[in-house]
Amino acid sequence: MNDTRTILVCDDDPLLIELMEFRLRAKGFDVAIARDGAEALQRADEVRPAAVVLDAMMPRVDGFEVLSRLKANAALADIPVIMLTARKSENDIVSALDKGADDYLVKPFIPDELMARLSRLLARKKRG
Amino acid sequence: MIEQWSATIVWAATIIAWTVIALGLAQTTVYLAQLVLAAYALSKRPPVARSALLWRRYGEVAPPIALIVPAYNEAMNIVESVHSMLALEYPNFEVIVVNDGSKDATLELLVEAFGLRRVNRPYEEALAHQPIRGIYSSPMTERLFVVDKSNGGKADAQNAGINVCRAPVFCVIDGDSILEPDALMRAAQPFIDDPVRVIAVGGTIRVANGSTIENGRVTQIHLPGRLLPLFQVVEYLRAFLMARLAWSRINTLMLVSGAFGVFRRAEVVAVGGFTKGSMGEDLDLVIKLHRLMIDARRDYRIEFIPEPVCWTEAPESLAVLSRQRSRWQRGALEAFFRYRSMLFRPRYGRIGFLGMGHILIVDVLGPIAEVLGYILMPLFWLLGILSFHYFLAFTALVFTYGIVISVCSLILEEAELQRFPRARDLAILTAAAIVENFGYRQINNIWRIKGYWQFLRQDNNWGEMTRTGIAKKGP
Amino acid sequence: MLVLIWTLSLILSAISILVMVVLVLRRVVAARREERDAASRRHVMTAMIRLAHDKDADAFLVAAAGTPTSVTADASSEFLGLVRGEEREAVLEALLRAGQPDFLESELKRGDEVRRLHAVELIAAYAPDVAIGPLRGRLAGDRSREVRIAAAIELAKIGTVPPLGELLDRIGYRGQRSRRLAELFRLLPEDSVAELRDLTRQRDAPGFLRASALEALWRRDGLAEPSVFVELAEDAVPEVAAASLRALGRIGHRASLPLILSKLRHPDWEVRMEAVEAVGRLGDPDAAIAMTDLLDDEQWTVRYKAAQSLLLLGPVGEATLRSVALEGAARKQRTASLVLSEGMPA
Repeated sequence: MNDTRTILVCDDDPLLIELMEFRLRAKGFDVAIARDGAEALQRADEVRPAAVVLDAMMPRVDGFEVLSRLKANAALADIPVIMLTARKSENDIVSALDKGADDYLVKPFIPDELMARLSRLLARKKRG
Repeated sequence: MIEQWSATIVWAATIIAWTVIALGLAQTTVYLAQLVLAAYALSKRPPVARSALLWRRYGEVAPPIALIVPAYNEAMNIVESVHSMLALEYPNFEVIVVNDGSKDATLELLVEAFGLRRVNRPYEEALAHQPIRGIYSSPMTERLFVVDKSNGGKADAQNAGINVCRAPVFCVIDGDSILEPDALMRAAQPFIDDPVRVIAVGGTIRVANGSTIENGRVTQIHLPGRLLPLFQVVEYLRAFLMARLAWSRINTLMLVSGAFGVFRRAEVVAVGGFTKGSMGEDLDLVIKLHRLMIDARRDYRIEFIPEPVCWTEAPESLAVLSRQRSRWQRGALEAFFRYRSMLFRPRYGRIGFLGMGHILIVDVLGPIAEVLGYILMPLFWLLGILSFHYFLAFTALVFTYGIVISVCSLILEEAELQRFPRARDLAILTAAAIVENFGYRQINNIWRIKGYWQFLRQDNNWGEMTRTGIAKKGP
Repeated sequence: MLVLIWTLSLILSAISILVMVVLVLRRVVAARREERDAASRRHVMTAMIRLAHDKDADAFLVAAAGTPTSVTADASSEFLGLVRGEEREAVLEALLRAGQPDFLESELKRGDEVRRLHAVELIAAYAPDVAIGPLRGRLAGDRSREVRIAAAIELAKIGTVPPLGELLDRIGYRGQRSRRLAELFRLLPEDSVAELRDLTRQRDAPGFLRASALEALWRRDGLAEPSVFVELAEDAVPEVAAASLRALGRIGHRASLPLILSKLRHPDWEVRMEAVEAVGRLGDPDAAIAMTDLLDDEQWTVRYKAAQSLLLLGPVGEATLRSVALEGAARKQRTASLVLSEGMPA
């Protein structure tokens, strides 16, 4: 088990990236960034982050597919994934949880809540 | 005897000359009317809102949409296209790729990339088409379905897709169309604002040549560096921003491009879907929809949204462009003669008079009149029927008029959309709008006459069964 | 004549050249301004992100002071769309101090339709005492219907709308069918429920509106009173009858089962479809036989829905479907076996 402090943020919205980067750094995390789905998969493989914050609607490969590819890859399946997306329909939430998402937050979101959920996931992973 | 002959010739020549001039005038009037109407429509239409706002505003009430993508021998880029389609921003949509009996590895690549499995999916056999060999779904995404069927051409594949889709609204695109991420959101808006009456929506299609394409999206807009695609940029601006917008304003839009068109499923099924073996199946479908709705005396709208929603790669070689234009011409002629009974029938009101009349003037008689003009004017001058001064003056008028129409369509673009980022691009476009009138316009007419000739000979030799990617209808 | 033709050509050329020059000049100016705005937009965005975290309003106000008000408004709209909770409140507080609402109010008065629409949505984010006045003003007097609907929707979200009749008069709903009206109905505060119910009964109102009102009613948990649905299931307008049957199924009103069963033979297929779906949701195994008739309906959608609804009934429904698949009439058989195999690997 690696004990990296890197969080991978995948989103194509520059505002969200800047916001998350600022908040995560304030909490002492390192931040890796991916602006589309294919980059997300590639970065996840290179960086082996402690957790992934994943948007659903991204260019190239959409977030749900990134999620199922991450979870299907034995080397990456343990990395907790939090979905952070404007998609809020029942179908989307159920489908993401089915595919192995560890948490699901709908935009607009409370940044502090996301940080708290992230800490909880990381703590659980360390114990487990 | 000889004198009598020459008198007859002069008499005939005068009649022909006047006919050509009358037709030219009719065309001129059509263009002028389009320009005025389009300007009016744009002034009535609010400027474009940003797509994030659209999602917030309409996300809750947007209807489910099925994206139907016919694919024939698209192995080159099918996987990347499907990825970018799945990444569209829309709350509720599915992508139905119809593999039209490809001879290459289109299906295999899809199966491999998305881990496709064959599934049972009951569907309505509302439209006839070549047999479906199997329907596939992906464990990675619920939004993707792949239909594998025997080869039958683009219209056939689209009909199969319409059968299989369950959404009340579907969107047809070409396998090589590049959609803007918010294309569906924008095209859905008329269906949200007026869900009872709107039965079809078209959107602006742009030429992608020269622009930077990354990850299946157009990221930076540039003008093409080569002359041929550059002329097509001007043509597309004129055709979409001016012509389509104008006609939709009076609910007489006759063509929703097959490269991007959104339709309500029920009405398309009622008219029997796309007509097979037709060159311009998109024009054909829209005329059928008009006929259905007018016959049933139903109030309806066929809308057009001026925002660019779709990008297409325009032909860069004369040979390919020539084939495309001849095919468009043949498609227009086929559709016109198939539905000629609607022409000037009072029962079909504005569609019979304006819509079909427009096709008659611009597509059926237009190319002939223009070519006759090119041949006859110099001929008359040589024969001494027309004075040199008049010949020169007429020619000048024809050209300056063409230039003004093109340049004015640039005003529309600038006033509302401003999609070309640099002032320099604008100057280049204007220059292209002028140069286009000398040479390109004439070559285009020759291609159209070629299409005419093929139509008259009923040359139904499609060659290789209409390659779906190419059989699209642009301006 | 010759002179006329030449003059015409010259005029046309002059027009072209003039148009070209004006457009290019305009563009040069616009490009400069855009570049400047983009830079200050990034600047104010960063300030907003810090403000949300540090709650240091003064630092933000310094940044906002050096930014055009319209750019701040634009940036704030994106930020407010992304973040909620306490941090959003802190940002709104600072935006209020930076004079944003005044700017939005002037936008509401002077902007074009899209800017007014945007300003309506943005001003609604502020405290009710700031937002309600301008929103009411728009609802009462804006010349665009889109803006009036948007103002009504925002007012409904805040929970303060005029009586429904007045609201619809203000929007000018007659002849209009926007799906946005359906959304408005769903957002109406609880004290409007009685009015919504009255609207469903107004025979002269468009069917679309009445159906939307019916939908808004059943979607409110605990407020749906079945009597209106029972009554309107008999309505002459198919749209209204279908919406009522849908409502009865969704709220699980078992007492109305005989009524719903009687609609399985309704001449309008949408009514039949809603009826058979409602029977499936109510889950009465005794209804299975009646439902099998619709497996042979002339409309595919009805056939498909009938088979799916049979599956919803549980073991009895599934058994019925299986027996039809084995020995029913051709079309029934086909529908049944298709739906039984749905989603399974082929």
